[in-house]
Amino acid sequence: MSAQLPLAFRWQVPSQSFSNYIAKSNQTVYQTLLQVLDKKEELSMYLWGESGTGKSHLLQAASQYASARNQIPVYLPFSQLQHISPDALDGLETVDLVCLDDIQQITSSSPAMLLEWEQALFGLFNRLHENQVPLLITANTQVQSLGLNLEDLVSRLSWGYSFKLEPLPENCKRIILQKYATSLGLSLPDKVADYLLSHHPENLKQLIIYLDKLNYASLAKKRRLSIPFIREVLNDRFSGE
Amino acid sequence: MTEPLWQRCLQHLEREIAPQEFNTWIRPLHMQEISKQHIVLLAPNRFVLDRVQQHFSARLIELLTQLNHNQKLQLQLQVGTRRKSAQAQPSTAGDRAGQKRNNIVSFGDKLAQNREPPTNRAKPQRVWQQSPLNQKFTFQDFVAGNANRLAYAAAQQAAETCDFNPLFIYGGAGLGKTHLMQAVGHQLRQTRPQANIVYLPTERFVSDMVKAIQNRVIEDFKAYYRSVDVLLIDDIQFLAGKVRSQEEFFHTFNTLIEGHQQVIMTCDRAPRALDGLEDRLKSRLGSGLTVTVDVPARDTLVSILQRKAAVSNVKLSDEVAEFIANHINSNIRELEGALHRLLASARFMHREISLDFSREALHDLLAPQIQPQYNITEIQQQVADYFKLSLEDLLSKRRQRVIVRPRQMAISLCKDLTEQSLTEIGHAFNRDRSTVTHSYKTIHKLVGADQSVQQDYQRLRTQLSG
Repeated sequence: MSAQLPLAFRWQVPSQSFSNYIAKSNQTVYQTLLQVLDKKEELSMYLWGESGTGKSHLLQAASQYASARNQIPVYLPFSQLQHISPDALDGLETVDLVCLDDIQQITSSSPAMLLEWEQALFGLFNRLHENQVPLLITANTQVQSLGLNLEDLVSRLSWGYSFKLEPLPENCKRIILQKYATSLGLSLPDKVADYLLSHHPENLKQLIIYLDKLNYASLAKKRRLSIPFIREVLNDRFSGE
Repeated sequence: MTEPLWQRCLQHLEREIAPQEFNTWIRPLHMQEISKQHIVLLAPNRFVLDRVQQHFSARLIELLTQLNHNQKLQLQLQVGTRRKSAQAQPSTAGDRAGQKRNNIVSFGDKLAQNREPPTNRAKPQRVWQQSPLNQKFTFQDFVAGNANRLAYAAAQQAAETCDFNPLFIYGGAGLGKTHLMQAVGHQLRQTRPQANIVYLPTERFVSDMVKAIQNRVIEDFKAYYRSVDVLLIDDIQFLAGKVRSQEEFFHTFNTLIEGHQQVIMTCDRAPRALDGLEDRLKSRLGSGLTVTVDVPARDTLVSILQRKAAVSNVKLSDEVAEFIANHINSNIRELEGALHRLLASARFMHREISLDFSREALHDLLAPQIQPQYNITEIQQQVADYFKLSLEDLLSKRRQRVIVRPRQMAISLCKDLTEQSLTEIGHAFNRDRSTVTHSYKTIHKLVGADQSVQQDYQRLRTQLSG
C-alpha cells in the first residue's frame, strides 16, 4: 500500500539555532562564541571535536544569529559541498560573518589542490582580519594535527580562540531529542526516546536524521511515535538499503 | 520597504528549504531594490551566485512577485555587497589631499567598484580606502628580546631615516615580523603625516595586479605603487612561482629604491633561500639590510604573556606565564591563542587563574607539546633525506664535514625533540654520550652564528613537526 506523501515536508524542519542548542560542558565555548559574534573579543574561533558534538549546529546557529541582526553570514559546509574549489572563498570579506564547517575535508585534496586551498584560506584570513569580520571554523581535530603544510596558515588559525567541543553526556541526549521532536510538532515519550538511544547508539547528528525520517513517516502514515512504529520505520530503512 | 520584502521572502524560504541549504545559499544574499519592478540580489561571490541561479532563481522570482502584490518583477542576480570595509574612509582618487590625509591606502579598493551593483558600476568611482594597520602592532606593544633585538632596532631606525633601504625582515611564522613592520607604519604616520604609506600582504599585490590586468588599469596600478612614499609588503615568499607578479614587483621595487622611497618587506626565509624567485629579484631583495627574528627566549615569552594579559586587565602570575611559555614556545600567535582561551575560560567559569586551572583549561592545547611524538629513527631519516645522504653515511664513522654537520644536526634534533637520554641517543648513532653533548653544543652555537645552519635547523624542525 502506498502511503500518502506529506506535502512540503521540509516546511516542518526547524533550523539549528542557539535556542535549541544545549551547551552543558561546552558552556565556555558557547559564551565565547557569542562574544565573538558581538565583536567584543578576538574575531576568529576554531572549534574541533568528534562528529556529533554540535559543531555544525553552532555554526548554523551563528549564521541565524547574524541574519536576525540584519547581517549577512556565509556558511560553507565543506563535507556537504561537492565540487567546491578555493574560489568559493573569494570576496567573503564583504559579508559580516564567515563560517567554514569541516575544513578537514581540504586535506584529502591532492598536494597541489591542498596548497591552493591553504593559500586561499591564508588570504581569506588576512582579509577578514583587516575588515574585522568574524571567522568561525570547525574541524575534526586541532589545527596542528590537521595536516596543513602552510605554517603561516596554521599560525593564524591558532591565533584566535581554539576550543575542543566535548560530547554531551548521555542523559542530555534524550532532552535534545525530545526538544527537537517538539520543534517538529512530535511527541517523543521518555520510553520511546530511551529506546532510540539504546538501540541506535550512533552520534546525535545521526539520531536527528532518524527523527527527521520518523517525522516524515509519521506524517505520511498518520501515526504517533511509538516503539513498534520506530522499529518498523527504521528497520524499513535498513532493509531498504 | 526593501528589508521587509526580503525579510518576508526569507521567512517563506526558511520553511521551504532544508536548514543547511538555506544557511549556505540563501542567507548570504542581500537584496537591493532598484525600483518596485526591479530587484537586484547580491551574492558574495560567483560560487554562491551560480548555485542560486541554478537552483533557486525561479522560486525567488515567484515568491518575490507574490509578496510584491503580484506585480511583474525583474530579478537580477549578481556578485556584489552592501558592505564596505569597516575602516573605510573613502576619498576619490583625484582627491590626493584626502588620500594623503588617510595615509594608508590600498590599490585593491579601487577595484572594489567591480563588486558594486550596476547603479554604481555604470558610473565608476575611483574609491580609495584606508588599509588598516593593526592598532596593537606598535613599538610600544612589542616585547624585544635577544632573539629579535637587531630586527627591532632596524625597524626603529627605518621609522626615522631611510638609511636601510630595503629593510628585509625574515623569520618563522608567528614571531612578530608583521608587528615590527606595522609598527614602522604607525610611527611614520605620526612623524610624516603627509607621507603616502601603503601596507599590504603580498597575495593582495598579486591579486590586485591580476584584476588590474583584467580591468585594463594596469598602468594605473603601476603608477600607483611606484608613487608611494613607503611600501610595507608582508610575506613576500608568496611571490614564488608567480612570474608576472615578480616582474611587476621587480620594476616597482627598483623605482622605489631609486627614488629613495622606503621599502620594508617580511618573509619566512632569507632572500637567497627563496625558491621560485628570479635570481635578480633575490639579489635586489637582499641589497639593503636583512635582519632575522628568531624564537624568543622563555623570559621574553613570559613578558609577552604578562603584557598581553595586562591589556585585558588580568595579572598573570610568573608561575602561570612560565607554565604556558614552557609548553608553547615556538610561535607567538599560538601563545596568544592559548592566553585568549585561558582568559575566556576563567571569565566564563568564574575561576582564578591558578597553575592548576591553567593546566585544566589548556590541557588539549598543551597535550601535543607535552607528549612529543618524535622518534630517533624518523629524525635520522629526515635529516639524511634533507642533506641527500644515505642513512648509512649519516650513522657511519666517516668524518668528512658534509657528513659530520648533518650528523651533529640529527643528534641535536634528537636531544631537542625526544625524551631519550644522552646515552640512548649516542647508542642510536654509534657514539658515546660525550659526542652527543659536543654535537649539541656545536649546533646550537652555529645556529646563533651561522645563518645557513640556522635555516637548515629551523626547516628540519618544521618538517619534523609537520
